[in-house]
Amino acid sequence: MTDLVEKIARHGPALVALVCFLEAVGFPLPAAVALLAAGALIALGKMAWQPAAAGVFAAFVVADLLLYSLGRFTGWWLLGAICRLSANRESCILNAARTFYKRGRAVMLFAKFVPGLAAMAAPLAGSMRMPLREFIGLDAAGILLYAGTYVSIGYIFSDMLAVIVGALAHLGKVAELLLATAVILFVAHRIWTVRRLREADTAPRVTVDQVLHQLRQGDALIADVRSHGYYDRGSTRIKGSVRLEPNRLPEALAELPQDKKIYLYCT
Amino acid sequence: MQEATSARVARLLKENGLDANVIRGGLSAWRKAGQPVEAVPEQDLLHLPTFSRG
Repeated sequence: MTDLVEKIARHGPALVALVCFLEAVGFPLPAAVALLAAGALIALGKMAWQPAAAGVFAAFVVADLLLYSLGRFTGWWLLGAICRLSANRESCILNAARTFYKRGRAVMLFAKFVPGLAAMAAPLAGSMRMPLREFIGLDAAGILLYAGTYVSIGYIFSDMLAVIVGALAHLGKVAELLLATAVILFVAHRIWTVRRLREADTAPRVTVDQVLHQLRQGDALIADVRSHGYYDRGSTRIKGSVRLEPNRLPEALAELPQDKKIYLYCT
Repeated sequence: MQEATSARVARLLKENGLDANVIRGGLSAWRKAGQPVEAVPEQDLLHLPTFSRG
């Protein structure tokens, strides 16, 4: 990290902006350190604040707008992809959407302080069609809060920059250890979940030919149980099939015929 | 896991006395077999919460 501080002293606002942009789009770079260094260099008179502020602000806004557009363009697919890690993708999508709908505005303000969350908040806002003007307003407030905090700390404690960067480096090592532990626990949990699902999977599989044969007999019903993001506007389904919403099974059960074979399909 | 949603739903339907099966390969297999598809009807879509529908 001290290397980064030295490089920032040499290359100035452009490097600070570049680090901020890359961190904002998801690269594991310490934008906080770059901002601290910028604050300290401004205090020491070695960096002009105007180009630094403009560069950092523009870098974050451009990165966040790119991610927002990605979310807007991909729609629910993005949330579906994230929820692939979950044991129950349908409820994961629904719950994540509802939670972000309720708390998304607050998340947008503070997401930059949480590594990884910042790169998720902007595309989620796009997926959930947060109005662009509202997104830009919240994003700008979040950027000012985040960048302002670290630049101010760097400015106020400019003579202690080495100590602060050293502490951040130490914290970074602790964070790496915690992250590695979390990844191991997650993989173990995932293996256990998949094994449990496999053991519980007793549903008979049939081929398309078998379904066609049964359809000709007239006692078959085909039901689409795909997740959101797949069963969406503009997509197609098997002709003549019905929708069986995976999150509304208890209600749907009463409407299903007892005397027909039911054939379920996903993607 | 392949066909995870179908398998989970099938298990629930079976527990409720229905004769549920899973189409191996899903929609991709259906398409590959040259069978017809249709557009998803608007009224079937579950509208998840959004900040704006615009």
